[in-house]
Amino acid sequence: MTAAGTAPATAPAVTAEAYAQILQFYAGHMQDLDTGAAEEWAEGFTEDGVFAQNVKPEPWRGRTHIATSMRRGLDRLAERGVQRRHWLSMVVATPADPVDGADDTVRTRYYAVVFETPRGGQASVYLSTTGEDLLVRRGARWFIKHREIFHDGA
Amino acid sequence: MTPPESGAPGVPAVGVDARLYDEVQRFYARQVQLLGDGDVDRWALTFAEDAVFEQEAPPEKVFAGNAPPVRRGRAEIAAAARGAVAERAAAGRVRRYLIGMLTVRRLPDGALTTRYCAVLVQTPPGGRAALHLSTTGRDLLVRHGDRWLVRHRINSHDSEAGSHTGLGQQKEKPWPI
Repeated sequence: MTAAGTAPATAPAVTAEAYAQILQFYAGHMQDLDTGAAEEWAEGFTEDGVFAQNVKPEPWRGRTHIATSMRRGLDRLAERGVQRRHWLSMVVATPADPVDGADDTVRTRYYAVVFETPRGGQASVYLSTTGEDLLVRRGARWFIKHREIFHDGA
Repeated sequence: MTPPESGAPGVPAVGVDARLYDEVQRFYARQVQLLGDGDVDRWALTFAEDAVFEQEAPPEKVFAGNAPPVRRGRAEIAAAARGAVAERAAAGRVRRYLIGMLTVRRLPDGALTTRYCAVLVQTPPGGRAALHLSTTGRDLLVRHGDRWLVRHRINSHDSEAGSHTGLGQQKEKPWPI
């Protein structure tokens, strides 16, 4: 048995093409978030996507809810004049059972570190987390069907 | 699997194939190591001769603090970096540049545009490593033989107002070439 969300050592890997696509998807997705584009960022989730965090009592369910909730959060940050940068790395990606007739279904686990810089101020590490996603590919695009973020120390 | 850039008509390209993405990542790995090692001469050769390097940064943090915010040409780019490297070498500080969250797009002429985050970790002699800067970069890369060269770079510090609004970072911003 393995802990929930972790892959056994013998798990098959995704192809190099799929892995490169996922890394680029994550990079673009975090660029949307960090430039304040909450609605574009939300489009990286499926219509019925779920975004859960271990520091929130309830997950955000559905792309619309995810967009409006993140919009509120990003507006608050902008008012405070704070720039965050989300860095996803150490991505482990394993094939998963197909869902919703997707062209590809992949489970990932990764580290996400957040850097924060106040306007005119000094950069610092704001947060260290791990994340677990269920990703689906439709044609040339990847979407997050389910994301759970675990804040370290929470 | 279909390469992402050859998706169905009307589907926006989502990136480049694994081989090219890997090539670009290795370009940046080498480039940041050359600068971190203070090897300015070889670092400068990763820029095109007519390259432009723009920095959106507080005046005291534009490299050594006395470099112009826009450097034109390899010689001027190298001169600014040499000043910064000499200053930190004199103080015994070590700087490591880390690049992440890289996206790569291919232009019709084969050149590439990239966007990424870059942080600078600094360690004083005998001291503690600390996050010194968080920035973003946008590059235009051109192929030169079997290598890539930076033709235009815009580096924006997160402490600057432009970085906060994201206005300077629109995805479709045309390149001032």
